[in-house]
Amino acid sequence: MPRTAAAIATVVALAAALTACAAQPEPEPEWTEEAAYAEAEEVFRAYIAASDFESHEDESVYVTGDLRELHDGEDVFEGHDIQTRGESVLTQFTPTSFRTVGDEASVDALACFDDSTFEMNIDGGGWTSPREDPIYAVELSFASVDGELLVSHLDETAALEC
Amino acid sequence: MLIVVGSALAALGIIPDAAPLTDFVLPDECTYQQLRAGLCEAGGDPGLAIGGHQHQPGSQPPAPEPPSRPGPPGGQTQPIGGPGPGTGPETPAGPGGEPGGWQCLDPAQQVIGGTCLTDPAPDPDPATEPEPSAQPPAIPPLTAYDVEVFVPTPAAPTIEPFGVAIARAPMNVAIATASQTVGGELFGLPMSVTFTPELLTIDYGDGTIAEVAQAAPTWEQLGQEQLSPTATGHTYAERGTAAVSVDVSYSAVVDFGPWGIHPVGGYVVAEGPTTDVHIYEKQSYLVAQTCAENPSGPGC
Repeated sequence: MPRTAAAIATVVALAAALTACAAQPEPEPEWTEEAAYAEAEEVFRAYIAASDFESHEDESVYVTGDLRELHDGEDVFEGHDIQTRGESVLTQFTPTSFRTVGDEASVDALACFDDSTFEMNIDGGGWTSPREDPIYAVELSFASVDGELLVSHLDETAALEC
Repeated sequence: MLIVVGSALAALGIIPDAAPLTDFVLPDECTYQQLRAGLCEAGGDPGLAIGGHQHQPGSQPPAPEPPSRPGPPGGQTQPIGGPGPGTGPETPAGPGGEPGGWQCLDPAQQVIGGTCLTDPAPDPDPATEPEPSAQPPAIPPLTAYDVEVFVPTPAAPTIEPFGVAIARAPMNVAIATASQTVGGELFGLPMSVTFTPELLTIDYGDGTIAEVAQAAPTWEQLGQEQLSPTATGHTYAERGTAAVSVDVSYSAVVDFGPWGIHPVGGYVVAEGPTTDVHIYEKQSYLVAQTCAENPSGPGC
């Protein structure tokens, strides 16, 4: 009898242990290429929407690294009366690379803008198209911060014909 | 740092020359507002955004320079004439009788036109520069992007045995990695950045990718026999050619000298060159004679 009880107790303990193991969900991969690319585009669109001259959103929440430093630094437009009309259209967003190291992810991308209708009136000086080339390409980098992709680099590039 | 000595807006005349927009410092970045305003145009008039230097991926880092205030370095344009009528104090016309406007020189002393809006005031006396200890520069948190232009390129991997692989037998990928220190300039300050290899990502070219920590030794360094399995080895299923590469992920710290040592957040990934590996097939036959003795025998 004691031997039977011990066997039953062992089986119960083993079953409980296996159940405990099974209850632990398999960790999901932190990043997938598709998800990272989609999130990168979403974050970039949110950033440019918040960066509108008339917007009162804080666009710096979408950036990190050097770009964050730039946003936190001196605002070259401060003290000027800036009016805008027309629109800037993001015509193309092309992710070019995705990397993960441990839990961190980074995405590089190229994008095209069409600012053909965009004009600025600065300090009442009259409406003018501020760019020589209203259709232009930019290079972008994104880096993960606490599990969210943020724009870490933004600059014009000649690497893409828009 | 990209030193902007004249803005597109000022050049277009929509901002007065004296406006503070005409002379400021941008890092190798632009905000979206600056992009829309044409302050970062890549293919535009070179007279609009020139001077200083800009690091490009793959380029050699610049030689270290002594610390300086943010401002136009030696590459800035130099005004050689005065502003024209209606744009500022009256000055005589140029030597050729051309009407007014700034005439500017690029670093090669070539006239580049009237879009140079740099303050003609001379650079401040270096003797009046504050001591580093008196006015420490503000160094932001460093990210991998800040130092990626300095990252050393990994060497090509050593493929064992003898640069080839044998199908269904272990091969080995070895690569020598070590901490490396590179000098350069960051945020206008001289510094040295030390890269320490933390992770190797080996792409075997057949869809298999392995990550190993820090080291990929040879069979000899491991004290193992040839064609024995290793942590960085792989067994190809069939013959052919595979493009093998090893990317090295480095952690980094930046030493700004008197301004301290700053860690870099994240890893800097250096992509290694690709090596084509021919995968051969080995077949064994038990035969009665050598190929020299019987050239038409099996496998000869």
